[in-house]
This record gives sequence, C-alpha cells and structure tokens, in this order.
Amino acid sequence: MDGLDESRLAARLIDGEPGAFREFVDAYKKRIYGLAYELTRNHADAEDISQSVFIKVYRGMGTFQQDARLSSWLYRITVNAALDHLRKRPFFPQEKPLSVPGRFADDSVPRDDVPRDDPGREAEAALLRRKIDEALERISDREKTVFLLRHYYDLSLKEIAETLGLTLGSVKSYLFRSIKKLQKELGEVPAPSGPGG
Amino acid sequence: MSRCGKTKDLFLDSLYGELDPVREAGLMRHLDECPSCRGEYEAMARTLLTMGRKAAVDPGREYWDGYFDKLERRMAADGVSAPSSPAPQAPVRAPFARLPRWAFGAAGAVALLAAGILIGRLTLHRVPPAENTLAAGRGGASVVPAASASDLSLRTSRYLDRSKVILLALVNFDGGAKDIAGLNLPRQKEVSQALVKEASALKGDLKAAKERQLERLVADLELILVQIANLKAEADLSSVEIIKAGAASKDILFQINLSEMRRADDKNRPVAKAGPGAPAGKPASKI
Repeated sequence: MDGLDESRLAARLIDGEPGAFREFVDAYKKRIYGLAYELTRNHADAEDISQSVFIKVYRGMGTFQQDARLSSWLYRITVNAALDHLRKRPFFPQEKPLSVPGRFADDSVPRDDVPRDDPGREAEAALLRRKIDEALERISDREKTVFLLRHYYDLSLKEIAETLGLTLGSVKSYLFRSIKKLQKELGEVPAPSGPGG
Repeated sequence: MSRCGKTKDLFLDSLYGELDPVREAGLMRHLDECPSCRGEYEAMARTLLTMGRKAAVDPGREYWDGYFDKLERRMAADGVSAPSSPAPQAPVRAPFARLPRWAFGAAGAVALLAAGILIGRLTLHRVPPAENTLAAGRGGASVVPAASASDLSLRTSRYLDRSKVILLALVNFDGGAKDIAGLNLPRQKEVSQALVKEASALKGDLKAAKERQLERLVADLELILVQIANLKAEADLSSVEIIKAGAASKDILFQINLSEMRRADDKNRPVAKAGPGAPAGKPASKI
C-alpha cells in the first residue's frame, strides 16, 4: 500500500466509514502478526498482540496524526505492545518458527525462483531461510528489533529512533552492528540459488 | 576520523537508499579507489539481499480467513462496539506488492557494484570458448555444442546487460521527481522494444539448451520490458512506480546479478581437468 492509499485509508478510518476498518485489518494483519511473531517467536502471543493492536487502533484512531505514515504508527504500537508483553512474561519457551513458503516482503506469493519441481533447490532455499532465522536469533533483541523495522518494515532510521526512544546515532549503531553480525553468521551460507546454475 | 571512517558512516544510508545524490556520488568515487571499503560495502549489500530471502511467517490461509471474525469476537468480549464490516468489494493490494524502499537501494547498490566489478571482470576477461567448454565439462555432459553454448552465453550476457541498464535507469529514477523527462523515456522505450523483439528467439534457444532458469529470467524481463515499451510518452509517475515495483517484486536485478556472479565465479574458478579423478564440484551452468 503506497503513501497515498495509506492516507486515504487513515482518513476513512477517522471518518468511521463502514468497511474501512475491515479493509484496514485485511491490509495489515499479516505484517502486524509477522512483526509480533518475530519479536515474540510465539504464535499465540503474536495473535494476541496483533489483535490488541487493531483494537487500540480502532479505539484511538482519533489520536493519529494524519501527516504521519499509518504503517509507521501501526508498527510503533506493535513494537510497544510486544515489548510490554515480553516484559510481563517471566518465562517463555522458544517456539519453532512455522514452516511457510513465501517471501517476507510479499507474503502470500511462493518464491518463483525456487522451482517446485526441483527438490534440491527447494531444500537449498529452505536451508537458507532457516539460516537467516537462526542468524537473527543470535543477535541482541535491540539489534534485531532495529534490523526488523528497517529491513522488513521499511521504517526510516528516524522513525525507528522515535519508535524505540533512541537517538538516531544509536539506531545507526545498532543497525550497523546487526548487519555485521548477520554477515558473520551467514558467512558460510552459499549465495541464494539463482538462474544460471 | 579517516576518510575511510567517514565513508563507512555513509554505508547504511546508501544501502537503504537514504543518501542524497551528491554524497552518493562521493561515496561511489571513494569505493572505486579503495578496495577495502568497496569489499566491505559489497559484503554488507550482499548480506542485506540475502536477508531479503527471509520467509514470511504465515499460519496459512484458513487462519487468515477467520482472522477478522476472531477479532470481532474479541472486540465484543472487550466491550468494544464491533464495526459494521462489509467485506471490501475490491482487493486492496496493488497489482504488484510494494516492496520496502530499501529493496531498491540495496538492489541498486549491488547492481552498480556488480556492473562495475563483476560484469567488468566478465567482459574484460571473457573466457575463450575452449576454456568455456572445460568449465561446462565440470558439470557433466553438456547437451549444447561448445561453440553454440559460447555464442548463447554471449547473447544472454549482452541481453542481460542491456536490460539491466534499462532497469537501473528506472530503479534509480527519483520517484519524488516532478519531471519524468529525467528518465529519457523515448530512449528507454526504444531499447525496450528492441529487447522484447530479441526475447522470443533467446528464450527458444535457452529452452533448447535446457537453461530453464535463464529462460524464466528472460521471460520475467520480457514482461517488464513490454510494460516499459508500452508506456505512453506522457506516462505519469505512478505508471513508472508500478513497473519499478513489478521489477522489484520479482527480484529481477538481484537475479541478473546472481546470474552474472555465478558465471563470473564459474569462469574464475581454477579449471580442473575433467576426468574420473576430477573432484565433483557444484554443477556449472552449461552457458
């Protein structure tokens, strides 16, 4: 959803237009759930957090600053909800990630560079995805949160700083460190399979 | 702070497409002169692209189909008046899912580096046909005669190079610009039309050579190029953005770069003599 569509949807939500809330939930549910899941690594928590985020938005749409990006505002609420949730939880076992095909940025579309009739390629791609998840688990929570927000949720460095209550310099530092660590973790992973081989 | 230190401060902004053109140009000049910084920048760009292959966490369609009903039930339980909620009449998503802004920056960064470094290596140190045949031999029996494989390799390489120039112009075009003339659309359309014409024959040859992934890449490129070729002279920025998003959603530049890197890697790898005692390596592309 581009900036223009986001603004229109936000305006319709504020106006209480019938159907706008459902449209809004349909447009963002996967990304909100996905972010909550990445932060908690637990399906039930991610579901609970994502629903509470939508309820907060429904209740508090009047406080949304229309010159802000709707998605940034939404991610900020999600991160805060997830952090609150984690703070309240004394112990939480790691849940294995659900095995899903598809790409992060385009959530419902199977990867077309991995032929389904090529088990070797599929296995290679699955291995790479697992390595990526493992690499993300090996960096600190703060580094991971900054990386997730910048890399998968398209928040600018400034927006991340505002969301997490950090200085811009700290955000840059966390992001730089996270990339360096991920680079090291992924060091032995072969480049993703592409055409020509 | 040393010049390299100052330069490294710009890496993140550049990789995420947040650097202004003047400083971006300065950074690129430094990277041209400093192999150490260039290596570090390139490695970071590759890491970001690899991280882009992360799979979405998705509990499945059934879960999503019931999501809104569950939410409404919870809202009712929480005492929040559930909104009247007719299902949307039209799909919300754009024809091409929008990719994060970083995708353009990182893909562009790698593409530029690959163009300057890897492609340069490919074209300047192009392996003669005889060596190419040996490289093909590493992967097992080739069904394509050496000469035609080499010819197909050159044609494919040129096709990808020319397509990439078009795509890079589009990717690097500032979406916030008010004047689309900066894109030099007539020239882009002309080259795209020529490439579309070539695509059919090239796909056929790649199919005959059983280069299915390259064939698919050329087919994906063809779709994008047709859209560019069919842009109206007075095309608006949103049409260009849709094409950009389409190219990004298919990771076209990334795939071209991977293809080039793989071929460069194949050609730079020490060539083992084919034979019963030769080590079994990863099968190389025939072309």
